[in-house]
Amino acid sequence: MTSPERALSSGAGVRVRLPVWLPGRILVAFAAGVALLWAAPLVLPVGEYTHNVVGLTFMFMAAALAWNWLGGYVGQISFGHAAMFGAGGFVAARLMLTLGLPFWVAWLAGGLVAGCYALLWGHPTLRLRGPYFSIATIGVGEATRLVATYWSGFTGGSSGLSLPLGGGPTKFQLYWYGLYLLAVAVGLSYWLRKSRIGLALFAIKEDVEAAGDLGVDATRYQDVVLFLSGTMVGVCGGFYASYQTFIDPQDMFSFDRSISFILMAVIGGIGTILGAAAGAIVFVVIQEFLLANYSQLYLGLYGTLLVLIILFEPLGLTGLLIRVRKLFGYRPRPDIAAGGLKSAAVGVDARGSTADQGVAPVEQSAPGERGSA
Amino acid sequence: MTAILVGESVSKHFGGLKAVDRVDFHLDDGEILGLIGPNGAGKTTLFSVAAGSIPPTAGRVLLDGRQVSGKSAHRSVHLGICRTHQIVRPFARLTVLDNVLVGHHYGRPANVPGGDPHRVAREILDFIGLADRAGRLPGELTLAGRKRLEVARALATGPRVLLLDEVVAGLNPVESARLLDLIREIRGRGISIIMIEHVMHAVMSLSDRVVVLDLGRKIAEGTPSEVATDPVVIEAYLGRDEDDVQRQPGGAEEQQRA
Amino acid sequence: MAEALTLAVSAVLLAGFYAAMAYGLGLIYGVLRIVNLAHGGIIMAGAYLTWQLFTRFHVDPYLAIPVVLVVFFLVGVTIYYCLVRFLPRGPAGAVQSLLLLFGVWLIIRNLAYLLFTGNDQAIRTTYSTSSVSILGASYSLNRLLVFGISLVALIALHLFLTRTYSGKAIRAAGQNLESCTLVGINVERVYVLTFGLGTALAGLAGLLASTLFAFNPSFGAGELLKSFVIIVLGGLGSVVGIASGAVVLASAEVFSIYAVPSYLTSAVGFVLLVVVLVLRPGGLFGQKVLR
Repeated sequence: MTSPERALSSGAGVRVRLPVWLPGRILVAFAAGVALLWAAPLVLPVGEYTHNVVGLTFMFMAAALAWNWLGGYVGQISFGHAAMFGAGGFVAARLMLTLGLPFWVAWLAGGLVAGCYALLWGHPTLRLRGPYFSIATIGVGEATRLVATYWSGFTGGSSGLSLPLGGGPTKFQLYWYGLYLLAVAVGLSYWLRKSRIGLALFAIKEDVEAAGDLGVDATRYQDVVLFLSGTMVGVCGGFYASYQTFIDPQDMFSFDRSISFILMAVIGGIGTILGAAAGAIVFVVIQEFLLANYSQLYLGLYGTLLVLIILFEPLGLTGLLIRVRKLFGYRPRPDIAAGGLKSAAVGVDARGSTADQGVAPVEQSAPGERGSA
Repeated sequence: MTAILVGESVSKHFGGLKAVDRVDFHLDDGEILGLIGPNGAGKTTLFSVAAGSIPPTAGRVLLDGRQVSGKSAHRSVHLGICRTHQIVRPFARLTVLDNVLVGHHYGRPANVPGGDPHRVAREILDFIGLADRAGRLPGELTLAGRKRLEVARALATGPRVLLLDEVVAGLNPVESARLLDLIREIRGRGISIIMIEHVMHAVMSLSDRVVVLDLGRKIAEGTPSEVATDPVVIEAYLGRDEDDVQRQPGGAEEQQRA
Repeated sequence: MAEALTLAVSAVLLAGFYAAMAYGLGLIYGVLRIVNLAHGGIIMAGAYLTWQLFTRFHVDPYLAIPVVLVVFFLVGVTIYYCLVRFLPRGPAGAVQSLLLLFGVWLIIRNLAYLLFTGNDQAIRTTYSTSSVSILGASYSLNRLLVFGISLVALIALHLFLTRTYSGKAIRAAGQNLESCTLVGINVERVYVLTFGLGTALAGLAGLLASTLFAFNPSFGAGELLKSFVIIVLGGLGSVVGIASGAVVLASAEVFSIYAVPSYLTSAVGFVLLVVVLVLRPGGLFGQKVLR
């Protein structure tokens, strides 16, 4: 976040000025990655089922990344993102069913509706901080589910909505649309993290009042993140509708679905880009495995995973990776932990110790290490 | 000397507690104003009102004729007034440089110099004496370092008026002398300053004028020597019978943090 | 008018239960500054334990109270010792504790699914359908008993917190942690006690719920939410505060019948919460908004 980069000049002598926070090599790596994934199915002999699941995973990665903007960057843990997932999904489905709109238009529209919905409940609720906000989001999710389930005119009630087969892209084709979704999500994640606005978000996460005292308009930036997060998750909902060709409110808006977003981000490493993406992959893999073999242990396993992660490695997979790399002499940049789970800063008072919070002084910021109780 | 910051009958009540009670004050351009008073006098609360962090119950504060009180903290920063905190609040998991960058990026738009933000931030760190610590975390700094960081951040917002809340408290004589020199240099850059201080020699040696608060009211105002010999002031500090005043520790200053 | 009166009484009866339910959450939050997301899960577990005692050992639910209290006190202590005490305190630990206890909730839910399947269960005693006549209207006996027990529990709690050393220590810890260590209060012990007590209360709420409602492993999310609404409405300061919050919520729910279809009753609490928070970010009684 702190290393300035120079302008990129292409070989043809045309000077391309990239923003300070976007090093040329990252852009190249990104483009290469997308191209690789785009071409992979054409070259690799992968079965259709796996191919389709990978496509779905792309969507989950995008959703996890979107959740992470609010949960990891701003530090407000939402337990109700299913509300936007479902809203986007149903609006998209309805538009496809009733108006016959092309799928991607429907997805976009659904996403925007979801984004506005997120703003609607989120703007006033984000005044709350920490646990208060989180519990409020549980309420949002549940209330939305209730209303949606009984608004059968729109959502089809418990019977849900079925999309006509052949009307939209096939699961096979959705692989590439999922990839585009992921690409946008990664791009936005990178922008939100590395640019100026990322600085504001982390300042807000650390100490929202001190941030305001330095001129950061916390409300505005939180609203931006809220809207983007809601929209992206809403578009993912539309994708899901197209993928499954059937959605119902009990599933789309379920608490379990909200949980899944949290788990993906936490498993992978909350606050980091690769983390949220990796977490989604792990999540889908575990899900496939579990549903096949131990569907009854589903919840308990996730619960245990959460507990273990929090107790031993709050930065999830990313944290583990850092530990491993430390064995090879890698010294993490000090602010990597800023993306991590530990929320608001401990106040460092005049005596150099922490204010009355009972937490150890601020010297333990190495990622993965918990503060002592 | 023209007054650039004016407080008109500023009051802040917390329920029944009058933390600040109809205080008038002004800060002249290029001046260093000391704000002193016994614990619980309402000094930090006054800062919070002036900086826009909390709305006044009555009265207002004007910067260059424009109201900075009663809006939000960030709006006031954009208008040109910035405060530091009595208990320093660095962003613990952002580097020193990033801490300053926050102030730079989000401070007063008009006065923030263009060019490479990192260069500007490093200049400020140079000025404040933290340049070699740019990549560290605030937790790795000494207390003096963290206090300087607090000031550097506020400076980065490009303020016209800087409100320094007990920046010297807790520092040893060497550190505090250096910080005081720094404050003089800041004034030399054209920034007007109000300082809350309990360390008397600091306030008295640095301030052009001093305002004294007690129990939320302004009880005296004048040059340091005038105030130091004012019997009302002396009584406020020394002569008050403790049993008559039942206050929570920190009094009004703690209230406003809530 | 008679109907309104009946509803009002229903609201009061419900409020009693709600207050007892919310107190467990409030206690833990007030002292440890941790939102016990497992609260809903404990309530559900309490309901199941009561049900098991009833179906297997033919213990009348209300007679099972001592058992439930002790069991869940121990459960709370265990959760504290094994998990919660490793969390950093204060704002730094807020997010982590949320997720940790959420994980615990998931585990409890899964256990319930494994042991008891996802089907709805209910407790039917010989007096389940009995009702009592008061002022011409009839009320379910269970509701009256639940109210009575809640009242007793709250009074006992109040006395404990105000008259005993441990209780006062708990209150002190909720008000000013630093000072506690200064006067020699063993803060760790207070934490253990509080967590155990809060969990025990949640278990009791579960017991009471089992006599009133049908339940399944998903039970508890709504109760968690409502407990939270009550805390925000009424503040953490006192039993009276929580009781007031409970009354407000219960009244809102009961009287919302006039305005809103019954399946949306649970949503009323949430709407109420958002409205209150938007209008008065400090809660109804000046409860501070968290930083």
